[in-house]
Amino acid sequence: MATSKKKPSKRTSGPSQAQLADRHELYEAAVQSPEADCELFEKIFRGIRRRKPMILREDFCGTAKLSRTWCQTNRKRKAIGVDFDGPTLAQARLRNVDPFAKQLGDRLTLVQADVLEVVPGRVESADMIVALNFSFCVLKQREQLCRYLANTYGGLTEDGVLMLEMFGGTKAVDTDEERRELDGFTYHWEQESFNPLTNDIVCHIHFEFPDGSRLDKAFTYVWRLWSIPELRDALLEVGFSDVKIYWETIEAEAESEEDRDDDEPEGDGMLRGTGEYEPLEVVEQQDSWLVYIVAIR
Amino acid sequence: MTERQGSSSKPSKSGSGSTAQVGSSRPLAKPASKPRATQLDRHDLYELAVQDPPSEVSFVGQTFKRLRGRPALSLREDFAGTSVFSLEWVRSHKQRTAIAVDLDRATLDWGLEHRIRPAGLESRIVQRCANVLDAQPPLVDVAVGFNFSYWCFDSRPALLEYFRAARAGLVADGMLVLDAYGGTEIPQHQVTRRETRDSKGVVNDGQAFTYIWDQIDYNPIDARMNCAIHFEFKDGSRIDRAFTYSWRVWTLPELSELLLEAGFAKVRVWAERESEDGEGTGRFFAAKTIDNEGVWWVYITAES
Repeated sequence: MATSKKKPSKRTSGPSQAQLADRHELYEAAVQSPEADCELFEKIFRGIRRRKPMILREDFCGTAKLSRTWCQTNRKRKAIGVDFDGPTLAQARLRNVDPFAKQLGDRLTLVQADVLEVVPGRVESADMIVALNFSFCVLKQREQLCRYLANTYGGLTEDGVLMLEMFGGTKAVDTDEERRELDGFTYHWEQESFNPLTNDIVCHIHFEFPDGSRLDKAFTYVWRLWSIPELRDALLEVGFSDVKIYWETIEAEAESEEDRDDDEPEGDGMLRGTGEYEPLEVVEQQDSWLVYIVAIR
Repeated sequence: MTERQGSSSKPSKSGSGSTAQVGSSRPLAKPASKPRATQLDRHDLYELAVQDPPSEVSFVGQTFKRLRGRPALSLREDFAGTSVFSLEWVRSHKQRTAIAVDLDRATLDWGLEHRIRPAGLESRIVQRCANVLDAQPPLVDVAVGFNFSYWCFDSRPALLEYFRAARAGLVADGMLVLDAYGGTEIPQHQVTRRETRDSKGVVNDGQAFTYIWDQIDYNPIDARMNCAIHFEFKDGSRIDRAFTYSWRVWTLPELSELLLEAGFAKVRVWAERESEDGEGTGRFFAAKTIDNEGVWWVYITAES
């Protein structure tokens, strides 16, 4: 290898870690926690409906890890994963369907479709429809959003529930970035731009590796950052009978500067989510927050 | 973007009555003299701290001409309060007329007595103590709703009804002009203080006083904000909550969508051009994007 002599510090001249990485695998590891999600969704659904939810529809499902996990929590449970992107659904089959074929049987269905085209009756009615990781924000016109929400209303069982995951806060309406060290790589979230004329937000996920290589713009999102009242208005308009906002509780606030002992490490001032959610109507604004908007049919 | 510091605000119609609550927080003043706060009129202070009718009239007149190809003569000022925009409008051209609409009779009367009659222009201004939702003839060229007063309509149906009513009161090529503000510093509790004084030396004898814009609280679940204006004086006295507002903070795409839904044909957002050193120039351009950091303030035009 001709180049190796010139750069003796480099261990090998083979492919970098970034070149070897699978962006879907990294994404699953960095942003998804399907076991916790399944537990939370069941808890919320039970709290509202006093029964166990059995059929889950995962819109914008990507690699359908949540759908697969849902089916694994109970052998009678079914899931329908909907995504527009063929190559991503191929990854879903490869990663989350085929290896579990025996256990899943025919309980996990993948549907390649635009969520706007999944009209009521096209797929089996679900107890819960979920749209996670803010993916519905790809619908930037209110008319589109309402059409999608009306479709979900029609796609639910009579006592079904829709759950939308949303983020916001004063840092969400600005450029921003966040890095998180994970096992073997760094997750880098970048908000490239926010335009208050349209509430359009452009975000990227990059991955960085110990060898210095980087998977730049592994995922890019061009979204409209919908507000909670906008979503609630639209949900009620398309027929949902009630909308509850499940707010993530935060850890008791860190001690203030004065109270902290000098030898304690300095915090970054960020509020930490606990993974627990409670329905609230009045909250104080935060730098950033996560909510589930739960619409009841 | 211009930073008219928190600028703004306040629709006089929500100011309660004409007697401000006065509190003297610190006993710094000599006991013999009356606290400043008890000697001043909150409408005078508000006008000085928040309003700028000449530049607003100039924007509305020029922009109407630019978009409609003719001068605007007849005006309706919604949430008019003391009606000083209407007054400046008729003052700017001898053929201009104005209808000033507000729910609060006492505030309209204050404007009539202290501003309109002294200017001798009452013949060209009709003050109407009415709800802005009740559109009445005559139709006008241009309607304005400033200082975010229309944010008191806190649901889509209510704001849509106002926009429809506003449009119904316009001539065929009429235009509605609103203002809006936002930015990362807006949807949260925040207090902004700004020193101001009357350069003509009249209000507060020309001495400086402090205008305080108090965003008391903001709830991201319904976008509702409670805010207040306080005034503070050098002698330590203070007019606390001279004006208070409880409104929904609307975002620009929501407003555009509702205006189009109400039947307006074209909506534009106007941002102030800044000089190289970041100062406002008084010239506005139709913006496609703005920086959301800090505070921004814009005009919105909606063409019938």
